Formats: sequence, C-alpha cells, structure tokens
Amino acid sequence: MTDNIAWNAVHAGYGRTVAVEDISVSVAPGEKLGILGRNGAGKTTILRAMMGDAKVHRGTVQVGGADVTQRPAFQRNKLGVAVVPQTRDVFRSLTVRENLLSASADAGRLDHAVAVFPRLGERMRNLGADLSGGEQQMLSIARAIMTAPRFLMLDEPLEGLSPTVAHAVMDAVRRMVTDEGLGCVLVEQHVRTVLEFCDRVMVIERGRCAFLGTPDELEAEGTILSRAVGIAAH
Amino acid sequence: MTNLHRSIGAAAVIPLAAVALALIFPNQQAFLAQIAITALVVLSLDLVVGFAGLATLGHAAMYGAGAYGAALYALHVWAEPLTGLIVGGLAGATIAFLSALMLMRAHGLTFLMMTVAITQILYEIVNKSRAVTGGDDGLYGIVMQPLLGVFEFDFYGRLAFWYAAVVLWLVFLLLRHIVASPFGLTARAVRDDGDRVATLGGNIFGHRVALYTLSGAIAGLAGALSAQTVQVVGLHSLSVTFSADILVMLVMGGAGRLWGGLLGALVFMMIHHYAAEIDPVRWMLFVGAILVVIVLFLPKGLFGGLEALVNRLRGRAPA
Repeated sequence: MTDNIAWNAVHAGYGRTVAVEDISVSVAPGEKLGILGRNGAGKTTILRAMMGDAKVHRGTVQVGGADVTQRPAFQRNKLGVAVVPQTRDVFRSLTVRENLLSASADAGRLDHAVAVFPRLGERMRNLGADLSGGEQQMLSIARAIMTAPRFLMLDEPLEGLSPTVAHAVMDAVRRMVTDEGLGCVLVEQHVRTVLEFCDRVMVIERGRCAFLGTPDELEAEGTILSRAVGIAAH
Repeated sequence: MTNLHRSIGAAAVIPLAAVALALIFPNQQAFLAQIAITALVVLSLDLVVGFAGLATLGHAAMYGAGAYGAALYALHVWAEPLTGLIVGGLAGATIAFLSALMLMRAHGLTFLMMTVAITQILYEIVNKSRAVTGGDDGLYGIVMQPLLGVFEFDFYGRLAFWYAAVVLWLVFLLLRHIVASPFGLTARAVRDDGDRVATLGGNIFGHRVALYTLSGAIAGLAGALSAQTVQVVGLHSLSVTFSADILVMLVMGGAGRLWGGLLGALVFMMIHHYAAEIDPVRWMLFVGAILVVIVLFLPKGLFGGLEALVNRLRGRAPA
C-alpha cells in the first residue's frame, strides 16, 4: 500500500466551490485505473487534486504513503507522479528537444522518450507551436515520462485525435505502462478504450463516485454507464 | 554550418565588433565603454524580461547597488579593479536575491509595481545616507589602481573600453551557455507555462529567485564597471528612469535573444549620442519615434527583423 497513490475521502474544487466529494481510491504500481463520467462530472478535478492544482477542502492525497495534500506540485512530481493535461500545454516557444530537456536533462530518458514516440525523433528541432495535435499529445506524454514517474495520469489524451493517431498514442502508453510497470490513471471519454485498457474503472456522477470496480463488473451492472456517461459501452 | 562553427562564429563577433568600433571611433573610446557597460546591463535585464517573461522596471536597483558597492570598496578598502568588480557583482546579487524573495510571490502588475517600489526605496535610502553615499552629490574621486597591476586607466577611456568589452564578452559567452542549459530551458518553459513546469518537477519560485539573482549579479558587474571607469557614481544609477531606458533598449533590440540586447544597447546609445548633439533637449523624441516604428513593424525587435531578413534572403521560413 505504501507504494500507491491514494485519494482518501477527498472533497476538492476551486476556491470555495467543491467539484468532487468523498473520493476514495488508490492505484498501485502497474495498475491501470480508468475514470469515466460526463463532461463537468469532476474527473479532471480528481487528477488536479493529486497534483495540487485543485484545492482539497477535506480528505488527503498520498503518494507512496506520504501525505502530499499541502505540498507544492513540484514535490509531488519528485515523489513520482506525472500528469498529462487535457490541454497538452506544450511549451510553444521551445523546440521538441527543448520541451523534453526542460523536464529532465537525462540523455537516457531523452532516448527512451524518443523510443516510445519515434515520430518525435523526426521533429526534434521543430517548435512546440508547429506540431500537429497528435504530435503535441505525444510530446506532452513524452515530456511527462522524462521525469521518470512511477505513476502517470492522463487527462483525455485522445481528445481531438484521428482514430489512427489515437491508436498510436494508446499503443505507446500501453507499452510503456506494461514495460515499466507504471501505475496509470486514465480519464477518457472513449468508454471502450477505458474498458479495454484499464484494470479498474471509477465512474463519476455529479462529483461523486457512482461505481468502482472492474470493467467486467461495470458492463455487467448495466445501467450506470448509460446513466453516468450517457452512452452504452459498445 | 555545424553547431561548433556557429558557436565559434558567435564568440568571435563581440571581439571583432570591438576592434571595428575602436577603429571607426578612435577618439570616442570612453563613449564606447559606456555602450559596452550598458549592453551588459541590458543583457542582464534580458534574462529576466526576455527569457523569464517577468516585466520589471527595477533593474536599476541592482545596477546601482553594484556601482555604489564598487565605488565604496575602491574609496575605503582597495582600489584594485577586479576585486572591485566582484564586490559590485555580489552587491547586485545580494539586492536581487533579497528582493526576489518578495517579488517572486507576485505576478503581473503587482510584480511590476513592486520592482518600482523597491528601486524607489533603495534610491531614497542612498539619497538620505549622505555621509556614506554622498546623497544627491554622489560619490566621486574614485581613482582605480592599474588593471592587473599593469594597465593604467587613462583619460581617453582606452583601457575602460577594452576592460568593459572583455567583461561583456565573457558574460555573453557565459549567458549563451546558461540559456541553452536545462536551467535556461526551464526559464523559458516557465515563461510559457509555469504551472506545467511545476507539475514536471520544476520549483518555479526557487528557479525564479536563482535567475533574478544571477541577473542582479550581472547588473552589479555593469554598475561596478561604470563606477570604476567613469569614476563617479550618482543617484541616476538607481533611478526608475534608468530602468525604463534599459527596458526600451531591450525592446528595441529584441527581448529573449542575447544578440537583441546587445544590438538594442548599441543603437539606443548611438541615437542618444548623436540625437543629443543635434537637440540636447528633445533627443528622446527621436528615440520615441524609432521605438514606435520598431514596436509596430518589428515586434521581435531589430535583431528579430534582421533575422527575418536573413532568413528571407536565404529562402527559409522565419523561426
């Protein structure tokens, strides 16, 4: 348990607003947790609470057994948590290579990041601003893994990507998680992707956890997906 | 052209330009020394404004601290130039570090106003401490020992120019290395998106304090050079007006590019020099008009414009 990241009865939001309530879940190294829910349900807030970008009103967040609720974001990253935001946030005025090196100067990590996303190797001298959406997403993930995380949190990584690029991105993530034994939290609107990729799924409905279990249990349950996500799993 | 060739070429530009300027203006080396010193302080400002994206009107605080520090050291301790230079750098770094501890908790307009406030406070402290600083009379009668025990400072500013040019060159090479290092990349990344850098493990506050302190040390070096070569230090070195002048030079040359800072200082000082000869009262009018044209038509400054022109001639898209 001490190697996990954990949300313990977390109430979190922005300013005085509480966006999620009573969220309790932990993720072990090598485990893949998917988070599903409608837009505005609070999925992103759960990730942001772990990184300190959302205010935790009650409860605690832990990394490797340490309570990091009050710690700044950079310390949480040093403890092994990296996030790939929905907005990608590549550094637009830096080249691909500089984007990667801004996260870590480790040449070995740079080679590794390029091995995971060979496309980036061809674009090393291009500015972040000049990349396509798919390339920006690859860069955002590659930059996160430059920090050698033990847990990778991905916020809607497939949003706006063509099916081919989305497939390539998920393939790379799958290889990375499997090969390196990373714990992974995936927030995603593509229900089928989550159900196929993840070991466990949490469904968020109006800021609360409506379901936490395996993909099989979720599909067997029947009504939650259509109610909380708005579509069937197929 | 390889990166090595580019680096060697870039490293040679300042010495070659110094030789060329000394040949073209053989009787104005004191003025050329002032250009080199001003270029140094503009480079230091570029670290904060261009690379870190922090708009400041407070750089005179560090420049002035360096100038007064070096002057007091020469007057009361030892008039040896190189140790005086170090004292000036340390004075600038100290003021920068202490003010950064407050400044780096602020953002945007609050940050800008605080930089002005800190400079004004320092200005008034120096103004009121007449017994030590000479108040509004400033410090004068600074007579430096020969540089390296050999080279005497002369009335025509020959040594002053070469001394300032060498310091500028060394600092420029150092900064080229720093801005390309992970430390420099992080500064630019913070400028683009500080929150993202934090989630990638970057300590934004610590990084900004370190960068501001480094910038302050360089501004302090420039102040010390001015004190040692002009042999007078006045309150102007601590004024917000001086801060604004160097900001104008940076914008003129192109912020976020070290060459831009150098070019901006050179062009501004030349315009100042010659426009003031034509009209000593309204010379700022020329500078203002040129600045408006640059901001409107060359948003990346003179150096950005030159770069775009060269790329166009080579048939390349601008960076």
